[in-house]
Amino acid sequence: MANNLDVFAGTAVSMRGVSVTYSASGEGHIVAVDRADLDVEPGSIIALLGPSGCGKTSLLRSIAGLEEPSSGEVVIGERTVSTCPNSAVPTKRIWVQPEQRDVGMVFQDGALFPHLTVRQNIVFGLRATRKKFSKPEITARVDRLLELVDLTSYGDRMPSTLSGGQQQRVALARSLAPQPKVLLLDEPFSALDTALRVQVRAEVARILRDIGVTTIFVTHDQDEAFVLGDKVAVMQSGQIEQFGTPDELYRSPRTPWVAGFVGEANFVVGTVTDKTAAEIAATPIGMIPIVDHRVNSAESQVQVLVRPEQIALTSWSNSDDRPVGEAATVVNVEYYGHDVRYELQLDDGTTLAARTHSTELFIRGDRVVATFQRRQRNSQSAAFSIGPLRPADDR
Amino acid sequence: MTDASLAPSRPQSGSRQRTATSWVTPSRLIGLTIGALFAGPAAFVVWRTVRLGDDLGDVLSEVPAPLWRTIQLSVLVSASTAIVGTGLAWLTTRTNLPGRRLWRIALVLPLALPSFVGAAAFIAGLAPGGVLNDALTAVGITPPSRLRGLGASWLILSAFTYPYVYLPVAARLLRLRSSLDESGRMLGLSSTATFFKVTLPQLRTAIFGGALLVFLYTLSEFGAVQLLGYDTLTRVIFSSRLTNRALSFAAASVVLLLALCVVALERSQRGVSRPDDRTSVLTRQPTRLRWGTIPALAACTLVLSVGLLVPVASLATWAQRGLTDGRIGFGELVQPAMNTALVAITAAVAATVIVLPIALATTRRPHRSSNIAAISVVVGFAIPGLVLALALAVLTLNTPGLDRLYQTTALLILAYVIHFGSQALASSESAARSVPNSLRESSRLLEPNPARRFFSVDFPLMRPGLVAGAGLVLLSTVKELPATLLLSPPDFSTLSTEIWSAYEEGFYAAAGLASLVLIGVSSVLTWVLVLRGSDVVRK
Amino acid sequence: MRIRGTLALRAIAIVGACAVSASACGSDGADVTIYSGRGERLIQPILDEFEEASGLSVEVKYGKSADLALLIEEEAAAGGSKADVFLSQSPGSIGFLEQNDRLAELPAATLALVPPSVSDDGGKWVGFSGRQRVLVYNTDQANPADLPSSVFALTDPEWSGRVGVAPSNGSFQDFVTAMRVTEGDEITAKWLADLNANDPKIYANNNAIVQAVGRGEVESGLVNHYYNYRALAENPNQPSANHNFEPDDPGSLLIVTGAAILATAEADEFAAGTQLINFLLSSAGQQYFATETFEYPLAAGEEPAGDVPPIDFADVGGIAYELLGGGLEQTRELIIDAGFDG
Repeated sequence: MANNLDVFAGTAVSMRGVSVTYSASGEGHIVAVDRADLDVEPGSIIALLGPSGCGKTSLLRSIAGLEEPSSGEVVIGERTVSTCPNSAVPTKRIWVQPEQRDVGMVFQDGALFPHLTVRQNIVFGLRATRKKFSKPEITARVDRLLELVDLTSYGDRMPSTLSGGQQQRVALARSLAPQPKVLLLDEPFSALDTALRVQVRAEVARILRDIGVTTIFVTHDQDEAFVLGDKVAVMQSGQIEQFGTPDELYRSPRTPWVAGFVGEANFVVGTVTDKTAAEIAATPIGMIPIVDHRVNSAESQVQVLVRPEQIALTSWSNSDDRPVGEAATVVNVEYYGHDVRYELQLDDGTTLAARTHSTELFIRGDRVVATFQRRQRNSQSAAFSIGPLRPADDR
Repeated sequence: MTDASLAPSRPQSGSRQRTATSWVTPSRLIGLTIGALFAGPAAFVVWRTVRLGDDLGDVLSEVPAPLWRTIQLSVLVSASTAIVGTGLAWLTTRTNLPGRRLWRIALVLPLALPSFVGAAAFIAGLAPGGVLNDALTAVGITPPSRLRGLGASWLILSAFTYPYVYLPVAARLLRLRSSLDESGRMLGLSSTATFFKVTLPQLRTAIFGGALLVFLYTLSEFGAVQLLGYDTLTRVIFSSRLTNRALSFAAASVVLLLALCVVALERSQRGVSRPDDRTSVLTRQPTRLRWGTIPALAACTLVLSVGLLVPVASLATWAQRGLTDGRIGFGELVQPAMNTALVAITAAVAATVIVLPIALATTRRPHRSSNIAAISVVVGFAIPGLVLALALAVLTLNTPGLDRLYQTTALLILAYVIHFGSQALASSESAARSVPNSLRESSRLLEPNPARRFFSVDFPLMRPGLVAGAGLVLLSTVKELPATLLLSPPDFSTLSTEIWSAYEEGFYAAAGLASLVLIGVSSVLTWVLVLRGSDVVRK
Repeated sequence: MRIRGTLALRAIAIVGACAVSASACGSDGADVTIYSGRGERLIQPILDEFEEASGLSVEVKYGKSADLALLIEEEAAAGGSKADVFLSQSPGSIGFLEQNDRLAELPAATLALVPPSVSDDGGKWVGFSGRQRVLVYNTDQANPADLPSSVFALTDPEWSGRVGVAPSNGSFQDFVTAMRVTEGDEITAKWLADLNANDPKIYANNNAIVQAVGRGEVESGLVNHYYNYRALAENPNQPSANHNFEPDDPGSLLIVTGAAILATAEADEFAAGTQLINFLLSSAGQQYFATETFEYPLAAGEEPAGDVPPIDFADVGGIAYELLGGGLEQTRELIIDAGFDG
């Protein structure tokens, strides 16, 4: 399959100020997507991550042309596929129909045509597309696609005889057949059961990287987004909260909500002490170098993001060489084999979650000392204003 | 009840195989008995034909020409209603046509008119002095002077029967998941191409089922074609019923044979692909019509005017003359209206209940026996009402012990059930299919009693479809005439017999008023049962 | 809760059905059971009067004459008809039953109430009201002076496209049968063929013709006389009127509405039936037909009412009415052979 890194000069997909609104009966307007900006590099795999109702699917569909944005501009390659004229940008309205955008899409339910065989399904896109292919070309292509998705002998089967995972693979092959510029996936694995999901996910990841097509996929599963995506856009209530690599999101989230959404987060209250070079917050579990994301830097108090694996536990002892930290009692233990997760109740009343290797094990009721432990040298933790996290939906 | 045949404690494959192919399981026997009930009148007709016809060859020589005319008309009407019904369904569910919710109700209403009333009223409307005539001359079009023959019958019958296709197709379109069409678009098809290559194959079962009903209805229809002067087989049955009974029965047998062939053909075609019932949660964006809005509205109005607006306007003018003169009143319609309601509701419930075992059998454990039973249910729709009533009358009169049933409302209701059971069958089958297998299987583990299981799990999920089916039976029963006239007990009149007797003797005002009452009642019932009950609320 | 509701509804419906059917089972409760091919509006009032006057209870089943005749035939063949009295709009239906020996002989006293020309020679049925065939015409379009005195004139070229007929209608077929009796099959067949060649306008029934004439769609039509009076009652401004043919022309056939008692009626039912028929032929009954439905009273000494022109039955007679009963099949064939849809 052609590698389409060289297809575009600039970005593969670019969105500026895109909003999507629905008019619901009796309730006025619902804003599904609120002025989103996004730039996707060619050949990359982007995840749109967020809780249900955050607008990720609407955003995806507006790239496909299945939703019409109420404002903003969508550009695929060098071609503007949709604009909405407004007072700021009074240009002519542009709208390119979905079938002319050269974009492939895989739906949550696979959406294989039930009255056609697997082979006929895959060929479907090749016949309809405006790029003309000859008959032997078509057959060769379909064979290669079937091989790619590892379903070579299934060509003449009907979709209803395939398992969920096999159907998704056929759907993938079908959408790749016309060699689209961009591939969109709408929660492609959520209809599969968990055991299958991990396996199919890995296969799809392999296929996509092999082909090198620019991919944008939607998911509510943080694992999936991090494993598959080169970059992840976290969305909430129609807005893109943060767009970055999984590591950026995990280690340097810009808001407490993002922090909590992409991984388990402890927020430890501390006081900022002024230092010349870097800021440090003094917390019960130690001194933590921070990156300040406070709204109002005049305040002295912050909450510092501390990931569970950044907390070290040592046995409590009354001796003098006990480490700096806060005394705590182990309230719950979850053993995962490779590591252990503890729920701790600090003596000052707050609760923390901690993850450590299973080298030293504690049991419920043990008294320990919780200490902050940097993972890397020179890394800084995100610190935020005190206050409630923005209403976070279920993760 | 249908699960009674399963023996969960015997997992050996041998006994399971026996159950799968054996014809003598309790559920299969129930299905065959019900099928025999529906096939009884047809069997009687054939038997009588054989008994009466000494010279069948001579007798049958009169049949080919009307038979050909019948086939022509039925095929034409089925084809046109398939197209019109599907097109209208698409317009009112998938586009941004103004007033779609109202159209969805209004477009079903032609079903409420008895065909002979509708045809007579439309003819009156088109004739000089009628509402349509005045409207057309006002616009400058000279209306046709006479409405007769194949073309006229095709037009009128199509206008009255397209709802049989419209209803199931619209229901299916509302439930169809959007991801299929959207996949088609993403793979490069324009919206039009997507409709024909992706959506239409999903509608196949609904369209064919509806067109089949239209075909069978046209086969057995008499009132409208008589008025329009098109000589079909039913005409032969009717005009020779007294003078040449052998011919009358022979013609009836031919009608039944034709119906049987067509129904069996449709059933065999249907089994090829199981319809995919998954629904989607997303609200789809309706197709924008833009410049197509005016032509679309015009098309809807045109269809509705022939099937409903012009006939109702004519009936209103008839009735109005009588009301202003004080010659007629609503009082004399009360008793007939109550009778109508009573028999129609009972028939609707009875038909749904009786047909349910067959619907369950054909969808859950398909077998030749259930297929045969289903075929005999559907053929019942093609038996002309007169023939059906006569058959039931003779059967009850001549069977010892059954003659107490003769001329009771119970027998009349049975006639309705046999004649219209097919309408409940289609809805019941799709209702049965909408109960997810996973739900049924998990309920089997939780509740061992099949009857209780049915009532607590299957029935609530099937209810919308069952109610829709009952609604259709109700609609058909309310306007039925020939069987009612023949089988009803003395001093028992319904709205449709009132309409007929007034019309026959030239009392147009009374006929008009009774017709309007009938249409009013049917419309309300249509909205409550058929549309609200089964409609998924979407914009 | 909703499940119970639906079950309750069903239970009520089924119980209701049983109740109704049980109550409807009591056909032995009435003294006289009538099957009437004559419509409810046209006869129920006089039947109600009979109930009051005689104290006998009457139940009526209304329907099409031919269907009711079929039903009676099946009932009788199976052991006994449920009907005691049969009232028929068309001689054809009564003739059918007579041919199959289902009718009882009426008492001489009843038969004597009408002229012999309007009752069965064998005494099996008696006419109680008459309907005459006429030519209805549009008063705006046609000049009464130009209207023909014989139905045979309608095949002349000047009448091309100006005449409406209803060949499938019972009364037209009765008229053709009568013409066969008086003129013979050959002349009748020729007349039918000539008529068909003269561009007649075809309608489904008498009503349709009168409506069409009223609208001006066709200039004239062959119908029964009373339809026009009824049409005028509904719409007094309608420009239509009746024209009678010559009294001994086949076109002015008098069709009788006949009453008969079924052979399977028991003695008390027979007596009650006789009483009913006598009542229909009494002054009260006959005047009802004259004034309410504009038909001809047939009992001796009764006069028609309103604008209905009187006819002398002696002049119209000569037609063997009993022959009208049978032979409908051949009539139909003749009509079809001439090119009409029978």
